[in-house]
Amino acid sequence: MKTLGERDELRNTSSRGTRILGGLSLVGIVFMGLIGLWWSPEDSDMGDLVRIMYVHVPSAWLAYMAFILTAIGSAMFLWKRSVWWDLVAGASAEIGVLFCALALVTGSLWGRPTWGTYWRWGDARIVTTLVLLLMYVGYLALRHVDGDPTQRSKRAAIVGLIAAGNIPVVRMSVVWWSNRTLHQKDTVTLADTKLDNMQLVALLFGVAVFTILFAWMLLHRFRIAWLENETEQRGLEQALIERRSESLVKADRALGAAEVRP
Amino acid sequence: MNGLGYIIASWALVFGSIAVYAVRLVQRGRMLTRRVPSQRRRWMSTEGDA
Repeated sequence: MKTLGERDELRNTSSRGTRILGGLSLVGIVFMGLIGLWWSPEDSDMGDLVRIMYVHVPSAWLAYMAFILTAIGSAMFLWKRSVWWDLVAGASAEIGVLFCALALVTGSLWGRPTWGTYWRWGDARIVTTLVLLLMYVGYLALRHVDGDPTQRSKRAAIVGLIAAGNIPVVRMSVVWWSNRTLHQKDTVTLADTKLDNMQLVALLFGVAVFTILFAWMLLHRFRIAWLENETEQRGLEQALIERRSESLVKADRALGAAEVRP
Repeated sequence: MNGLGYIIASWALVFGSIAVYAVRLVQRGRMLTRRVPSQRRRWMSTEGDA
């Protein structure tokens, strides 16, 4: 692993790896549009509205993946006390929040023409997903609270782990509270699928593209977090130096005054 | 195509948000790399970078 010090000409957080991932994501998104909007057939039950699934499910998948990584990063931070893991957890949570919100909004847009409503407060899947989103918004807010950075990271890591406990609840909500949700059960399982071949291709392709996109976003967001951490550290060091020099000047003046006094 | 408005709104919202977030990530990265001295910029490259 080389540092940017060795490649000082670079003035951004991109690297060969991120450029490859970014390129693959862009090409993947173009094909996702072609497969999802043109090549795949309409559904026998919901017609063309099935095409919302090709962005809704990958968004939810990416959110789960990001929150699980946040939990891993949080656990590793509490175990190793490593800033690296703390920053991975924070970077992943921010991406997770974005995609969890997108999953909720696209679900809502899908719900209006299929269920006749954008939102239903009693719905188990909708409400547990909203709680999951709010927990990670809280996690991100906690990371921005002023104070000792180690204490802040420790508290955030504990919240990151607790919030992850809600992921299986969201996943299983359609089974545990099946009479209290409009949401369908899993469309694709390892044993069976209710989708046409091309619909399944569109869905799995979307999941693959979003996984690559997640890797690209995570690398950039982690590097930003690292640089922000360095800026904060430098700020603290600078403040300490200034404080020490102020104390030295004061001590010097006091000594000078004592010498002048008869 | 039935529900065209909902389909377009969903796809536009998802990829619009991704585009805005991606641009913000790149811009924040550029701004921060100027602030941090080169010797303190770790984890900025992947193995095999020229």
